[in-house]
Amino acid sequence: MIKVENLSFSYDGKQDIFKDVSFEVKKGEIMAVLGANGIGKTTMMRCIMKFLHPQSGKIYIAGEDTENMSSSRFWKQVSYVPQAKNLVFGYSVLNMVVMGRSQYVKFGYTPGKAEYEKAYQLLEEMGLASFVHRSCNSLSGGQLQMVLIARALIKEPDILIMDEPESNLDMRNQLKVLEIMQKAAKNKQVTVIINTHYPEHALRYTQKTLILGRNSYVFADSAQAITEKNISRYFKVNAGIYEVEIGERTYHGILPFSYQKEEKERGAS
Amino acid sequence: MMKKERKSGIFVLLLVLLAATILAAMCIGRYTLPVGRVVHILFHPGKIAGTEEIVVWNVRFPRIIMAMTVGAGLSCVGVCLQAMFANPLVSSHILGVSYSSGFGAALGILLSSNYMLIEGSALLFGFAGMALTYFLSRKNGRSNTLMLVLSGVIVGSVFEALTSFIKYIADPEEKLPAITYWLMGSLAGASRSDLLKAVPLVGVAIFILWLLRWRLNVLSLREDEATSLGVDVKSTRLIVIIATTVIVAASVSFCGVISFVGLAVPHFARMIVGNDHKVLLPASVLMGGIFLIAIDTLARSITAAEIPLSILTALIGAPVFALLLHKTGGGWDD
Repeated sequence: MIKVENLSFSYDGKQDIFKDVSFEVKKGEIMAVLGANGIGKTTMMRCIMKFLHPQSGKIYIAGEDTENMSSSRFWKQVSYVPQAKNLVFGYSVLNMVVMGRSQYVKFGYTPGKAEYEKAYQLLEEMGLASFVHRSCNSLSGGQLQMVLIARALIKEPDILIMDEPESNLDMRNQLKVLEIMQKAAKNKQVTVIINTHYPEHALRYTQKTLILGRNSYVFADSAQAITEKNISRYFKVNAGIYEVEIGERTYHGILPFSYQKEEKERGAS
Repeated sequence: MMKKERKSGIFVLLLVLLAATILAAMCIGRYTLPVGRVVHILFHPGKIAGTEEIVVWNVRFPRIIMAMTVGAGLSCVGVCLQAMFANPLVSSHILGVSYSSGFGAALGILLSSNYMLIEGSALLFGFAGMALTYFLSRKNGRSNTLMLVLSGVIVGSVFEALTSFIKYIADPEEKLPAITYWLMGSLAGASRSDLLKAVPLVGVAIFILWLLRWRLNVLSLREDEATSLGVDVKSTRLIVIIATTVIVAASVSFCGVISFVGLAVPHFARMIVGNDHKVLLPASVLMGGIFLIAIDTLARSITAAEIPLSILTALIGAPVFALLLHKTGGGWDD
């Protein structure tokens, strides 16, 4: 569904943020993007979403080069879920979700009854029907994040790009958000790219994982990519991956137990 | 979200209030007229014979309609710019247009006493100020909100300084009071021929902004978010900038700089109807019209000499604004 070939980006034209990154995610698959802070995960997402122009490389959606795609065509296929932050003007949940249909609202018009009904139905499906009329600014972080996901899904996109949707959420809300993502991929065959700081979430919910490093990257099936060795290499922490069996299922947990000192820190100590 | 019935109720109420304010403003003034007489004159246009008809049709009518137009326009500008900059503190001054337009008017007064020239100069400099702000804010062919605000501040300060310079060199007996008076805003000069120019200009601009009422909701989100929702942020922003400039420049050119309306009225409206621009924009337009007619009626009737509008808009508007803010906590949440 989405194929990236030799993508490179640099802000100043000298130092590469990432170089020659290639990957492919199929329809209905979820790919996690992992990496240390400041390594360029968000920059890469912004390149994919055409907010930044890569130095080189190609991005294809369903075989079509996104560079030649008009913005409106591109955004009919791709949805973006930003991190939940309070808004300046608190719109109602229903209005917020209907904003996801803006592309289908003709110039000079406002969304019709059908759009509002669609939004209401989706919110009901997601278990959010009880607060459709509440202001987005009166919601908890988890609830707002789910509203933003609903806004992205109402467009019925082929590709969903999520920027750390489970950051700043408590455990229960994290699971809720990730489950909604999983359902979208499974039931609606949406391809998901999720930027996350939680390798254990990648292990549990995603098929593919991309780990970005300074001058290298790993792209593989999640179970192959997320190994103790790669965590040590890309996150500079020593961690153990353990298994827990609960009922019929096996879950993986990751325990980082020490961090590696950087060159400078070593010199200082 | 507001229930449909409540929404319609508010609009009916605002329309009734507008009609009542217009009628009251027609009656009140140094030459007081009874309501019945005013209604009779209004329903029998064409026969302008006596003093009363002249007062209603030639003196008060143009002034009231101009107040309504400018009040509605400036409130509409406030709502749209607040959405575009995602900032409830923004008013029509932010793009520097009021200052450049004010400079144009001051220059016009300095050089001539011809009204046409003064108005034309204010309009022209209004556009020049906007164009300057817009092009200054462009970097690498793109323009972002922060750059736009900073450019507005730069352009505004330059034109403010130029206006001060004109005041400094103006003849203190004749020109300086005229410039100062203009810059504080007044509707005293409104004539029927002014209406023919101002009403279509401001009306069309308000209509264009009204067409954008849904997009304004999306535009008030973060830029990336708005783009991802499929709104062409760049062109929508450009339309907002041009339409709001037309309104500000037209209002400055016909009745000077009127402050506070564009900041306070959108907030009054927010407290009553919430933030959804579908409802907020028309409500602000109506409330702005009502507010400025009321203020202008006071300006011409509480003392023997007319009081400049900006003094009253702030003196009366600010305490009411403070009270409402205190009571509702701002109304930024729906």
